[in-house]
Amino acid sequence: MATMQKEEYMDRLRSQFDSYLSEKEEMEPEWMSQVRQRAMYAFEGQGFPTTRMEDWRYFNLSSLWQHSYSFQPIVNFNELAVKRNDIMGMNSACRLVFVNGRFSRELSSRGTMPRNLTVLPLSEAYTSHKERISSFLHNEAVWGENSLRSLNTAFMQDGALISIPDGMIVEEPIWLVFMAIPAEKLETYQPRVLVEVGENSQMTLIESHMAYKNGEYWSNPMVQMHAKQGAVIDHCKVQMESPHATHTSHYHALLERDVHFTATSLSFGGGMVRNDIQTELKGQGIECTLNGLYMADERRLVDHHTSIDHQMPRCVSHELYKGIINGHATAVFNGKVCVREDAQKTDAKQTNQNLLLSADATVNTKPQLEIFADDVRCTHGATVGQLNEDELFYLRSRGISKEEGKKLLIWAFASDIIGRIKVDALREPLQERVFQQFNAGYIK
Amino acid sequence: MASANTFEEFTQQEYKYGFVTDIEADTVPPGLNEDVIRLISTKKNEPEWLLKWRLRAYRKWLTMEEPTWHNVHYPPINYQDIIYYSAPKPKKVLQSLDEVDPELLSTFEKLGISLDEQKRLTGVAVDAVFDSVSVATTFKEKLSELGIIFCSFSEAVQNHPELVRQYLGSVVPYTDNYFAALNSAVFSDGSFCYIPKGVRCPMELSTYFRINAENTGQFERTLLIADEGGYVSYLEGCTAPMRDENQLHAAVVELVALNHAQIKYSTVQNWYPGDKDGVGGIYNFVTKRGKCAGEGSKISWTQVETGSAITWKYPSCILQGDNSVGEFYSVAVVNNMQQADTGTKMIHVGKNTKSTIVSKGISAGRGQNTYRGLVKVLKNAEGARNFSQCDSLLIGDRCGAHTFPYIEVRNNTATVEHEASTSKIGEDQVFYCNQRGLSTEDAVNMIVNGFCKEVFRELPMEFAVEAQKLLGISLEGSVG
Repeated sequence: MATMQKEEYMDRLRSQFDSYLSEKEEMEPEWMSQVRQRAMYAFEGQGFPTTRMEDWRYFNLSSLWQHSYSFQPIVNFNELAVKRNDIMGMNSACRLVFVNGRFSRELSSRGTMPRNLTVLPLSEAYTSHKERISSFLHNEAVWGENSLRSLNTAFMQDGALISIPDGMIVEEPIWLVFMAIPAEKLETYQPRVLVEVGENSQMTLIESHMAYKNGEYWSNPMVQMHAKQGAVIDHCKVQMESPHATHTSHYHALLERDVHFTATSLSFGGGMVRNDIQTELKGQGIECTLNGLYMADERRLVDHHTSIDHQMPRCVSHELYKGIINGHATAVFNGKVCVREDAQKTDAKQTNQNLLLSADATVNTKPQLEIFADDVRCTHGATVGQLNEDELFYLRSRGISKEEGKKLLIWAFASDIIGRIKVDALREPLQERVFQQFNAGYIK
Repeated sequence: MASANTFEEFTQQEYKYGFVTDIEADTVPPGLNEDVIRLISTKKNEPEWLLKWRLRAYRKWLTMEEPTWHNVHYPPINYQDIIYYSAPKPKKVLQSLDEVDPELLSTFEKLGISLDEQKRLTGVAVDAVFDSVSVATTFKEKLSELGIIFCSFSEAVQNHPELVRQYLGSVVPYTDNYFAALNSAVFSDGSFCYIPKGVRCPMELSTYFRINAENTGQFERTLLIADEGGYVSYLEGCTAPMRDENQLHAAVVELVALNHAQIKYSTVQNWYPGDKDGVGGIYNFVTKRGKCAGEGSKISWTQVETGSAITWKYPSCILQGDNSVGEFYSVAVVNNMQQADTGTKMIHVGKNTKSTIVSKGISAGRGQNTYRGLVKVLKNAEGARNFSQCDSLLIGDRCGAHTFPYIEVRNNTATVEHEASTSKIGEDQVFYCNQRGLSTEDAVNMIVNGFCKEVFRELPMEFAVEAQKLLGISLEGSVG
């Protein structure tokens, strides 16, 4: 892998973009090319984030521009041959499967979803759902917020459009499976998901990112959610990328009045992982819950940045993030709760708890409150610690081995988050996955 | 340029004939360059190494950029507009209190400061009974009997150069940050204190008794060293409102605690905060840091910040010695247009080090209060323990309270806890007090003082009483 200078990289990225665009222009409407071009300009202006920026001080992206990732991944395989039933979500009724950033018709299924509900790959929806897509993609304030989002907008290979009409209760969860089959060459996957949930509708969305085999790649997915008045949304994201992959995800949720929103982020894989979750509470009476669990060992880095922006009165937000860090791994948590001037009667609670299992593990946590209103109740807390010796002793005195005791205690710590997952088809395999990790020498 | 030439000549001349106090121009023109620094150094008759140190700091400063990460906003400062050296001018002596600004007097009244003290603070000629000079002299004798050195920084440079040279910049190097570099280059004066081995300083050392360090100017430098087993409690500042025509204040405070030494450093800051619309007011950009260099040493910071248009300070502890302890207790009040970005850093280096952070922020009017803290546990800091608590109280719907706690842990035997809450004064609490005949203003005062009790408890007795009253004055007019 040749390393190169930043300027040289930018030049090469530009020429990659131009050839990519001319290829896309044949398949996409013109307004789409314009969006891509605007995003590319924005990216060129912003450049890659550096560790000198407050939001990126623990996350060094230089390897991304030093190695030349290809934005046109090869999708050259027998799709049915890669269908593996042990991959989570592959058996669910309604699923969209993306392989290396591109939609795979063979692996996907619509199930028994009602006709007036839209679940489509983005590449097939540009003409039929122009209004919807363009209202998302023309929101430059959202995708221009940081340069990696701009990059996703410029290079998005495919993605999903999900639109739920008003007053519909979707009982089956909708799964989005992003599968990576890493090639010899370094590749990057830039999927984009746009979700619109109508008034008083309910839906469960599961997003899983996994690798078919180990390898090096960079995935940079972005999700935009628009929840209309009274919608109830449960969103789970499972990240199990290859241990050498870089994963930088962006989530923007715009919530209207009386929305009930839950987003759970479960991060188990990846070598360098960054999850940005940004919610804007734009109406009164919203209940917003952000939960998360991250596990990291070896030399991996897991970085979560969450932001809850209380813009209107009488909203409630709860946030609970838990981390288990082992080996030489580093975990970063930055949780921001902002309460604007008008957001009186806000009730916000934020907690971050970290379990350090080895002497070489590192935790950097910053729970952050910014409050401009006075009639509020806001608390936040962060802890960093180890397994409690007394608790371990208690278990051992009851005849449980030290190792089993540790497992029990760590499981108890993790199950606080996993236990809150409502979808059985997700919770049960995840429990197994955590135990697998334990048995694979996670605890020494 | 003519002025440059004159300047050159001027400095040359000074150097040639040594220190002359009788100079016509006792103020240099505004602006900063190496010659100004040479001039400051020459005027203060400083040794060569100190001049070199100042120049190194200046050259470093030139390469640095003013920080922008903080949560305060102010118009850009023109550093070439500041007069970096002005010889101490005798204050105009007033004949009686009648000549003093009545607003100032009414504040004194509320604080309960005695008449004699009021005179001293406003620069009215004082009678023999309360002659601060004689008081100070008596105390000084007592201190020197114990071997304690307590003098102005310039005096220390002359009389104890070996101590100054050994410790200056050992805690806050000139490369540390923009304002520390500026201070290192141009610091005017400050205090120096050395507590010898095994000596427990018998009284609260305070600038109150320190007559030689008046007019320390806007770039104050303090160095405090407690040798093995020493103990000192140091008070800085004054509850009385301080008026100053200098807008920018960039001070540096360095504390060094050797084996089993203890330093308790208390600050009450009440600089002019500007008027109701935020016009005027002091910019207070201070770098304060203590090093627990020895085993079992302890440094405790207590601060009550009520003044200044902008406060930017993070009294920190480097817990280097094993079993050392760092503490930080803070009350920061902002009212009207005031902005405060304050907090602490606790760097755990040694084994079994402990730190406690208690921060109370009160925002009223349109004030913006930010707590910014760092707790860092390094790899070898086995058994480190930290507890942080920062609470904010909001009075009024146009103020803001922000919390930015950074926690960085690299050792799995460390236990770090942080908790924070933000709330307002409950209407039912005020109603309860009203019911029992307390006015709303008094009720708020009482609730606020209760909120800050944990911190006031750490202040020396007589300070604590004044601090409570001061809080009441700072929040005046913010209710109802």
